[in-house]
Amino acid sequence: MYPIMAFFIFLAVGCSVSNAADALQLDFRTDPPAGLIKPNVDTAKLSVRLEDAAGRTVAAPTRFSIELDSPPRNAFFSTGFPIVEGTPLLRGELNSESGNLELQYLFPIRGIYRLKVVAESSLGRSAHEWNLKIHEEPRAVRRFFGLISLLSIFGVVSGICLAHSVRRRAAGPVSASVIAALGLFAGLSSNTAAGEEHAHSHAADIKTSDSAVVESSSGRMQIRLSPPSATVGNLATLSGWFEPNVRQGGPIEFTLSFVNLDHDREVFQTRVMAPDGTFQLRYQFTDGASHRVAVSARPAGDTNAPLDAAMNVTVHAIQPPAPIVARTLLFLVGVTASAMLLGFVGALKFSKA
Amino acid sequence: MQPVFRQARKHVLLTAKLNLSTCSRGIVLLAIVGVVLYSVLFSTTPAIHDFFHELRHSLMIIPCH
Repeated sequence: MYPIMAFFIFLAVGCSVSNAADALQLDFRTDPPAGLIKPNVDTAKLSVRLEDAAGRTVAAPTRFSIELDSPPRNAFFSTGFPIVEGTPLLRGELNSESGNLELQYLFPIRGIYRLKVVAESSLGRSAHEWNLKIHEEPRAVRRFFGLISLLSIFGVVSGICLAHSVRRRAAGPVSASVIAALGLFAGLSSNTAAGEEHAHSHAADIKTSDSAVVESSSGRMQIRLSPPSATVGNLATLSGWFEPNVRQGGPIEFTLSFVNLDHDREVFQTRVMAPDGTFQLRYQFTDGASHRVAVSARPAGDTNAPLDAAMNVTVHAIQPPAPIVARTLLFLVGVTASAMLLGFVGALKFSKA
Repeated sequence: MQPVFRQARKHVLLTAKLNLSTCSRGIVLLAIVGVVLYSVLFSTTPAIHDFFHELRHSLMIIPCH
């Protein structure tokens, strides 16, 4: 009798645990909403929550496996960072004291990002994949159409000048073309205010390293980047450990922050718990500029000031592939040629009429 | 702006006596447009690239690094 009862009890408990695990679900939100995030401008807050069936955040420590991939390459139009397209951006096993994980992230380009999260806690496991659509910054769209308008007007005017020279059989339009082309150069140059000049030249003054070790009365910490200098398009591994002077047995709380030094803009930030006092994160630096990597650590629950370690890392830029450059240049020249043909034919027809 | 116009005047003097067909003129013009666009939007020469870097990133389709 007892073995049969034990069997049914075991079955009931097993089913309830299984149901609880199945009921766990992942919730993902961004602030601002994905549709309002401006790529390469706004750092967005991403939060992933492991919830139970009632929609409450799981209180137990949770391990999040995160995979973030950039949008695939467009067949024709490139983005500002073509090397980044279709590459992994983030890989990490991040621990949290509860079922809530928050990241600050600067999305580098427009397009549809793939985010895959697997969350595991003592209550169960849940996995989900999201497609996150980030629209182009409205100002960039306006400027793009401004450039197309500028080239179209330039083409039409050049076409009219060419038609005018056919009627008069004069040699003027070549001179006019040169003047107009120089005018176009001057016009584009004036669009770049001196204040917006790129700061890559300043990056040469920044001292970079691939590791940092700090020590204080609270403990000792080391952070390290592998490979020693990052490259756009590839993941770099940031790892580190913290050894407190007084072992309390609890997890270590790490706060990671990456700042693009060219733009003085935070591109990534998160807070993770490390039960064994170590962390590892694989991250792609998407801009070929020096970055400041800052990590602070302290035992979880400790109210004392954390121990801070920081290093400036070199990020090698990769120039855009020649086919992409050629395609974009051909498109822009093609727009000018079409407008020129339109102006030429229109002017001839108008003069005949 | 002065050097641009001075340069333009020099080119006017050079090309004033050229006698090209309409098609050739069109091709010359498009070649010049191509060179100008390449210099401003795609050149990797640090002095030019750094000056136009922000402009490139604000034009939506211009590849940079």
